[in-house]
Amino acid sequence: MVIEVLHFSWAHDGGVLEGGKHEIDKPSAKFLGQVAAAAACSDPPVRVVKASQEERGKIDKAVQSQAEGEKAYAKAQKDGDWHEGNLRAHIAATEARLKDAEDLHDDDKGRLLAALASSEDILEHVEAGKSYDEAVELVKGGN
Amino acid sequence: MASIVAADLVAYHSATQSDADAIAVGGAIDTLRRPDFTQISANDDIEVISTSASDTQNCTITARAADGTITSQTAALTGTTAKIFSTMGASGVVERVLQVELASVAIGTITVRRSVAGATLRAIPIGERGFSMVFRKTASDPVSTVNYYAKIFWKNTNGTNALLSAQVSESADPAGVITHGLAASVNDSGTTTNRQTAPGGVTFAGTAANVPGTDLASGAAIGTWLNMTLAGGAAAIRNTYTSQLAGSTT
Repeated sequence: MVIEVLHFSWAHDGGVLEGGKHEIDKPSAKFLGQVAAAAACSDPPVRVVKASQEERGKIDKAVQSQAEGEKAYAKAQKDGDWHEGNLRAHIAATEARLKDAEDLHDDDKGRLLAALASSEDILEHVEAGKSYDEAVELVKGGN
Repeated sequence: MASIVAADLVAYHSATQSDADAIAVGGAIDTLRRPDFTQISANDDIEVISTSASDTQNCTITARAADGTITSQTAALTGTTAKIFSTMGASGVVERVLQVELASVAIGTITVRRSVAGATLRAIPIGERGFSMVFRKTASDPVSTVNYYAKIFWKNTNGTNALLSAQVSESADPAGVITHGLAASVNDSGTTTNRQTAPGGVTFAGTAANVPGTDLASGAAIGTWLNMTLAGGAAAIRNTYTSQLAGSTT
């Protein structure tokens, strides 16, 4: 197969390829999977120039479709699995924002501090086994 | 049912991100990818770790190396053991991260952080695929002013309640180069011809904008266009921009 590295370099689990076209003899299934993953990115680092039908088939199966991903996202939200990661993301982002708060208005800083405290409390309840909705109500109720 | 809390208001990318010229930008919400994360504060290598041993999918990180080149690495994750991305760029360390993309949704909560066990760039929740910078690989013109456009969404992920009197505002714009404007309706899929063409019907300003219809319903999202204006010959910018969705709740 032939691939083109569109960035200065692209590293995979088997080595590093510099920008430009590369001919790969007998690519492994793992390599094809990593080419597929890279090629599926917005602004991809890699482009498949030439591949056999068999290689194309493996590449096409290696990356989850947007539709399948959206189904998994909807299920994770419905089941409540999504909330813990979302809370952790919110806490990390808010903490980072408060560390670099020179450009924030006092009102915004106060809102961020309150939001951080609220998310930390909700996460604590979720980790203790409460559902997300139960945890929010406990925090809103001052428990 | 649960009231809305700050973590329920989530920013997402639109279907087509603003990272290349000559393609249409915008579209519907992409709930698998987020436009916000905390950039690394010094050159470093990056590691990725999950709360689930099942997260062994490929992950691609694109970054700018210390010498300015764009470099990337795709590696299979190793579940609850941190996978260090150490072969990006000549020295293995990068100056800034541009994009992190999983080949399939996160099974556990995946954390992307500086290595080893350093500051978190972002946690990727279960069911999502990654994150990236909004304006990537853009440059000023030596002489003329250049405008770039990108579309993100603010979504109310609360399962029950509407965000009342919802308003999107610019919380911080230290570089002073970005303005914003809202789509004419919620849950829209409008695009613009390319990232240097203004989207039709959107008014850009630095002031707060009311969400059309006043309230942002449970599960609804409002398209938020961003306009970055770079003056002719403008110097390189490494900065942040903070958008905010606010309102009241029951």
